[in-house]
Amino acid sequence: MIKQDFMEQRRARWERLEHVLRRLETGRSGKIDQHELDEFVHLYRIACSDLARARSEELGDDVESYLNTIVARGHKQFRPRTSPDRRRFFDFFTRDFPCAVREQKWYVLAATLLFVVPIVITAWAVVADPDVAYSLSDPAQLEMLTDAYAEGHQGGRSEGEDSLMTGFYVHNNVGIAFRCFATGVFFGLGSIFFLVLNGVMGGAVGAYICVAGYSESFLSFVIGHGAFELTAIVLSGATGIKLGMILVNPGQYSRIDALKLKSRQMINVVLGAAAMLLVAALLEGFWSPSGAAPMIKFIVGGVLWVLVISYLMLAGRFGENR
Amino acid sequence: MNQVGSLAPVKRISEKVSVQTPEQIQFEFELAGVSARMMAYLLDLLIRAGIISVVSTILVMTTSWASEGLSMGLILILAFVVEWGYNTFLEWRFNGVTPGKKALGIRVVRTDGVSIDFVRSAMRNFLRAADIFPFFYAAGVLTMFFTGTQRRLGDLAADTMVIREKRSPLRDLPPLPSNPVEIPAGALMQLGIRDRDLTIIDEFFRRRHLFSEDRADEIAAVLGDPVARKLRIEGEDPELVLAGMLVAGNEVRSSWYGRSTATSIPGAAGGAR
Repeated sequence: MIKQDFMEQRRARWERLEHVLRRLETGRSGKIDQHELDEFVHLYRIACSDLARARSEELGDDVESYLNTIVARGHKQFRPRTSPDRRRFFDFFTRDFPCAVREQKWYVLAATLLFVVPIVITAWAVVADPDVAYSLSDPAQLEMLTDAYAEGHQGGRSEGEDSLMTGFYVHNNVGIAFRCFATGVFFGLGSIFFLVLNGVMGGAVGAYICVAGYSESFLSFVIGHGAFELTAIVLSGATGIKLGMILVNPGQYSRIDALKLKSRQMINVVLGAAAMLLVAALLEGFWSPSGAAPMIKFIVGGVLWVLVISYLMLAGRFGENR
Repeated sequence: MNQVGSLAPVKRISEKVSVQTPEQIQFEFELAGVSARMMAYLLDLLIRAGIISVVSTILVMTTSWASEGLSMGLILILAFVVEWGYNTFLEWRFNGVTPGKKALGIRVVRTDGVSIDFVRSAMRNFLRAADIFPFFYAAGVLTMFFTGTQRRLGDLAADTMVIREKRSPLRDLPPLPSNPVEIPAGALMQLGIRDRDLTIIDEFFRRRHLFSEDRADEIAAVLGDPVARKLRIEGEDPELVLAGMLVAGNEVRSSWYGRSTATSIPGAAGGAR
């Protein structure tokens, strides 16, 4: 019988392939030597041709689905090589992240405008008529914030409170940044919405506090971590808009292919933004509320802004071409 | 059946996706449905809650002497890391499987069937924030229905899909009845019996043990009677007729394809370089 012959003849190889597969699937591949890998590739190819043959000769569902399973399992083992390069972490910050940001500089510009213009407009409106702030934000919360800045930070805060707030900023702000990016999948609308919303709220609250007469306390608090936080929110929003735009206008590629081409860059920017938000959370938790004189905070904050922007604009630009 | 990867997708909800290997062999993946993925998600949610509660208890015990705020802050950071990192890290490190997915027997792979890398894992898991919109994965479940290949937004952006891991063990062939009706191979060929017909008979014997005696006779009669009539061997036990057809048919097959011993594929161990 043909089917029986076929099965009797090949079965040992199939079972050997299953054995090697089990080792590849469970064990760390470090334990598998070159000889075994070669054997795997060889056995996998045989299984492929056996599957084709079982199908064309219609040898039956049982053989076909069995071979289908082991071919599928074998196929999964082929994957892009991920080099365990220790320099990758370092390279990410000195090259990959800033380069990916510059790659999408027009989106970053658009996101900056979408964020800054609402800030300016609402701030202007609130300065003209502080009541505008009440319609944009919860009055009780506004009073609370104003009171907090009225107290100022001269006394500093306890370390415990600092750590608590740092944790809160990490949990909250990085989450916001990820959402700001992810909702870009709705053709960019989600990201645009979050950018404008954050701009409006920030502008209203900030202007309200300044109008109330605590501008020094407020601005000296915000400027330090703002260099990282605001930039990171803009970057993740920009990436979200880019994600949406790729879906709207994929150019000469299919939407899926266009996304595939850009996904590493986009993920790099989002991860970089997340890292910046971690720095921002530490600054916002420990440095911004510290008792340092406002003048010092302004100077440090200014330096941080210059550093962040020149980092994004320059880092990785002069490296060897890779 | 849907084509994915480089081929144009066919719009149809399907449970199977076929993938072509570089060897030009097509094989199929069975897609995981909404319910299995939901269950896996809920299991992972439980595990995540477990991790957070255990680790935060340890954090409180070890750090609260310094200050309450410190342990609370660390717990919030932990919650953040678990919320965004759990799936991303596990799917990247363990070839698309998390404990919840493992329990449900499902796995994330690229649409060409290959294991996912970090970028894809990060993409599909960061986009959960969009899938979850506006509540309880409504956007994700909707896109799963509309894509036809059961992929949520994160899967679309990362070009991944979630598949059911099938294990179909190979069983031995069932024994045929020992005294089949003798049918001349030539006569069978003249009736235009094809591979497919023989496969169906084969399948019948493979499932023979599932049927009662009477039911088996009924089915065998449906399959074998037309042939028996044409060969003028009515009245024989239909099962034995089928067995005879299989024997004769395999003889024919041997003459077409040659005995499979004739194909020369070098031995597994010997062929490996």
